[in-house]
Amino acid sequence: MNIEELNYLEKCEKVIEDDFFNAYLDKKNKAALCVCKQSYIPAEDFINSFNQIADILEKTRLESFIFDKRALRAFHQPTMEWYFVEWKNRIYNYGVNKHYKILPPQDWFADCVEAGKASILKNNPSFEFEKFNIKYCDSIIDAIE
Amino acid sequence: MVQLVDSSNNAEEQISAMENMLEMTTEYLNQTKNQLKKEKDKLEKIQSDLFKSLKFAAIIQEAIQPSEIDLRQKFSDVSIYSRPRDIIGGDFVWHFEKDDQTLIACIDCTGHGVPGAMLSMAAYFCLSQIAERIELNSNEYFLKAFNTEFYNYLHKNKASHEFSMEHGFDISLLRYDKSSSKIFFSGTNQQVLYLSNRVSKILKGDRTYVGNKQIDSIREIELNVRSGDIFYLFTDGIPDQFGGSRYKKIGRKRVLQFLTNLQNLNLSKQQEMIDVFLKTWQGNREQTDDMLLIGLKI
Repeated sequence: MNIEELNYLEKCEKVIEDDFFNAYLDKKNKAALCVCKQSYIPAEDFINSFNQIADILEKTRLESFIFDKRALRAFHQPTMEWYFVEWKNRIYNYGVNKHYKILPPQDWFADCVEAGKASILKNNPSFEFEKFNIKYCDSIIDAIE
Repeated sequence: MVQLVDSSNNAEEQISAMENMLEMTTEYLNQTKNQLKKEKDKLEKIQSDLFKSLKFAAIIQEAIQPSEIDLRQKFSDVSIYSRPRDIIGGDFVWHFEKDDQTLIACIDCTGHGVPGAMLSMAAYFCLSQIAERIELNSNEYFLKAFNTEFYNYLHKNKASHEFSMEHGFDISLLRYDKSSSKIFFSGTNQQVLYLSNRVSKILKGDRTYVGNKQIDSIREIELNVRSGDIFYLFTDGIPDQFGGSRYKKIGRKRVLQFLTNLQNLNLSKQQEMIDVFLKTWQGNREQTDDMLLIGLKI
C-alpha cells in the first residue's frame, strides 16, 4: 500500500480492526472499504468479520464496497462461495451493488480467482453475476476514483 | 506487511484451502485450454474453408478474363501482371472484338476482396452485353451505355436501399481500330503510359467515375499507332503501394519512370522486373490494394 492510500485511509472512519481485516467507511464517496491484513483468512473469521460489515452497511446508505485483497495468498473456496452468493446478495438489499476489488499482483492468483468464479457459477447456476457491478482495480485510490 | 497465520488449526485449514485452490485452478485451466483448443481448431477449419473457397473463386474470376495468349492474337506482345490483395479482387482485364474494333480495358472496381470481385463479375458481363449490342465507334457512348446498364443491373431491387456505389469504377479503355491503325483512349481516374519510338506520353483519364447514376462527359484521345508502340494500363494499387525506406507510396511518377526505363525489354521480361520492383518496395508490409498492370505492344 502506498503513502497516498495510507493518507486516504487515515481520513476514513475505521469501523473494524481485528487480526485479519481493517474496515473503513468513506461516507463522502458512499463507500465501505475492507483491507486484508493476512495471507490467509480462516473461514470462521472471514464470515464473522463480513457479517459485522454487513450489519454496519445495513445502517448506512452506501453504494460501493472496496475489497483490498493484496495481502492474500490463499482463499477458502467454500467461504468465497458464501461471500459471493449470500453476503453480496445481503448487502445488495442495503443498496451496495458496486464492488471494486484489488487483487495481489501475481498472475496465478487472478487465475485462481477466475477458477473460483467458474466453480461458484457451476454450483449456483442461477446466481446473477451481472446483477453486481464488479470491477478490478490497481489500488484503493483507483477504486475510489 | 503480510503476517503469517500461526495457529496450527488455521495452518491446517490454510494448507487444505491452498490444495483445493491448486486443484480447482488446474482443472479450470485445463478446461480453458481444451476450450481454446476446440475454438482454435474451429477457427482453423473456417480459415481453411474460406481459403479454399477464395482460391476457387479466383480460378473462376481468372477464367472469364482474357489470357495473354488470347491477346497475343491481336497484339504483337502482351503482359498482364495481376496481384489481387485478398486472393480475389476488384481489378480486372476486359477484352472484346467486333468488326475491326478491339476493345481492351483495365478496370478497378471500388473495394477489394469478395465485394470487389463480385462487382467485377457484374461489370464484366455488363461490358460484354453492351459491346454486343451497340456500335463500337465512340468510347464515350460505350462507357455511358455501360454506366446505365450497370446502374440498372445493380438497382433491380428498388426496395433495397442497402447498396449504393460511392465511386464506381476507374477505367482505362483502349479501342484499337486495326483498319485505320488508330487507338482511341478514354479513361476515368487512370493514366496510361504510351511509348512510341522511344518517346513517352502520358494519357490522362478524366476525373469522373463510371458506375454512378449520372456520368460526366468523357474525352476520347485519338492516336495514330505503329508497330512497336507500347501501352501500359494500370490500376491505382500499383502507385498507391506503401513501402520503401520511408514508408511512402510508390507514386505515379516513379511507376511511369520505371516502366519507361524498361521499354527495350520484351514484355514478359518487363513483367518479371515489375514484380521484383513492387515486391522490393513493399518489403514485409501488407499489400495496399489490388494491383493490375497490362502491357500491350502494337
